[in-house]
Amino acid sequence: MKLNQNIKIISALSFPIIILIIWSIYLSCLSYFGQTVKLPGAGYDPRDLLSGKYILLSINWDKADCSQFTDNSCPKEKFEKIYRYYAPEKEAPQMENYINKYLPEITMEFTYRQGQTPILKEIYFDKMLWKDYQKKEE
Amino acid sequence: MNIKQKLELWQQNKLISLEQQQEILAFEEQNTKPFAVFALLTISALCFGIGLIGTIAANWDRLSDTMKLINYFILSCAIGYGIYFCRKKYAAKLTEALILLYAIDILAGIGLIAQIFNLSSDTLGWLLLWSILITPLVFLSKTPILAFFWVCTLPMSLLDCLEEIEFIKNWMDMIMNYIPSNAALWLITAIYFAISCLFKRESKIFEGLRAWIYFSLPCIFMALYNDWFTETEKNMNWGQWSILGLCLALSVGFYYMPKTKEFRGTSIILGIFALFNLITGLILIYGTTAEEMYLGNNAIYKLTQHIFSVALLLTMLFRTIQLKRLNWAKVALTFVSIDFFVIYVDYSQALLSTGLSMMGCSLVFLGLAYIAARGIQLINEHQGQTK
Repeated sequence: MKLNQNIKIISALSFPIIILIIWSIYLSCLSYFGQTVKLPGAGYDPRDLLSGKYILLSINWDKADCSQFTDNSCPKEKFEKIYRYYAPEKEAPQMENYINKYLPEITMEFTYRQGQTPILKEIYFDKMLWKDYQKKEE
Repeated sequence: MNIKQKLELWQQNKLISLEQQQEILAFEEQNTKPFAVFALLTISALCFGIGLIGTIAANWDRLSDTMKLINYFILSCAIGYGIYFCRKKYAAKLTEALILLYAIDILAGIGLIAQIFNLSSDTLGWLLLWSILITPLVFLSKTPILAFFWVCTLPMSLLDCLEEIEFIKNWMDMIMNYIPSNAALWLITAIYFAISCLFKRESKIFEGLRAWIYFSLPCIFMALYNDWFTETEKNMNWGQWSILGLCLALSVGFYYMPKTKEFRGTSIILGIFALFNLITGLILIYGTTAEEMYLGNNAIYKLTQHIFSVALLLTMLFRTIQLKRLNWAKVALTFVSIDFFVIYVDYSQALLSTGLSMMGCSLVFLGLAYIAARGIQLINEHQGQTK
């Protein structure tokens, strides 16, 4: 009886952690093993949250290169309308400043697998990783 | 019914003798843990926790994503083990506190994973995931606090998820078009009340639903206020937020009043905080900016604060000398500690980072708790000598 009780408690306590671990592993696998596609970004909306900044971007499908996808057609319905990119708190204001000042060409890098939700990995300013772009401007 | 009333009732019904009644009362008086000390300790722990989180958050960006996740899962496992261990040792209150912490930690974990993998913003979707993940904890917990949040978030997020179905979406749109916000809240409260009748009175779900009804009432009045008086202003101002904060703190406080002394003390302190916030919020309406208010340049604010503290110090002093109203001394001490906290936050903001400031604040409260405990012990000893 007591053993059963212990198993119940341990199951109840480990359930959330196990689910979150599985979710993280699943997202990591999607991120590492998926096909990398680069799509042009449009619009941004920086927002302050508790820590750091989330920059909201949408995909500019008019300028997208659909040949990256297997059947040469852009699976627009698989992608979200708006994506959220997390920028560290210290770097975000500068990043925002560059976007406002230099109006760089924004490219969003995704990992994409057919039938799965694409994951936003990085963003590029003028074809450079945004961190490198920041260093260059400094 | 408190122990004094119970003993009187037992004595009147001749279940115990008068001597026994007096002996039990004397024993209880000697062994009762003062709620002011518990409240101060709770706030001290709360400040330390916030401070620690703040400090880690400040250095968070330096960690790699994998390290962030590893840190998070180690922390979660530690809390989980803490719950298991405390439950085994029959430390009921600590177990409940850790279960709450664990639930908050799970929500933080969802946010962290979403941040690392740049997942698009879907707050209600995450709340649904959280509600599902904490379901076993709701049934593991012996208090209805988590059930209260669960009964709030699960239907709301589930409804949002179901809204993707065309039929439900049309139905929801129709309701939202014809029912004003306050009436919708009344309706939801009524539905919750009806559902709560399906559960046994002693069940946690019933308690959680009942707590939701308590909470929804001030919300309804807020919605009524918004609908009637501020038709153009959709965002709530400081004063309104303060009233809501006060209502929340008081509703939680009143709800738990007969149950735990620690919660009663904490909720009273939070209620007073909210009231203080409300007063400062009202002063704000008369043309003072937030910066002036919180940087302490406002003369009225400062003056009010000092008059407040001097009056309370005197109250504490006189009541402690009298020795007959020990509870007043405790309450006065609580007020003084709040005053200390306000002054401390006022000045430390300019000197330290938020995290370190809160950790320092935790030490201030720990010190006050020690002074309170020691003071009460001395009073008790003195009372014993005079008897």
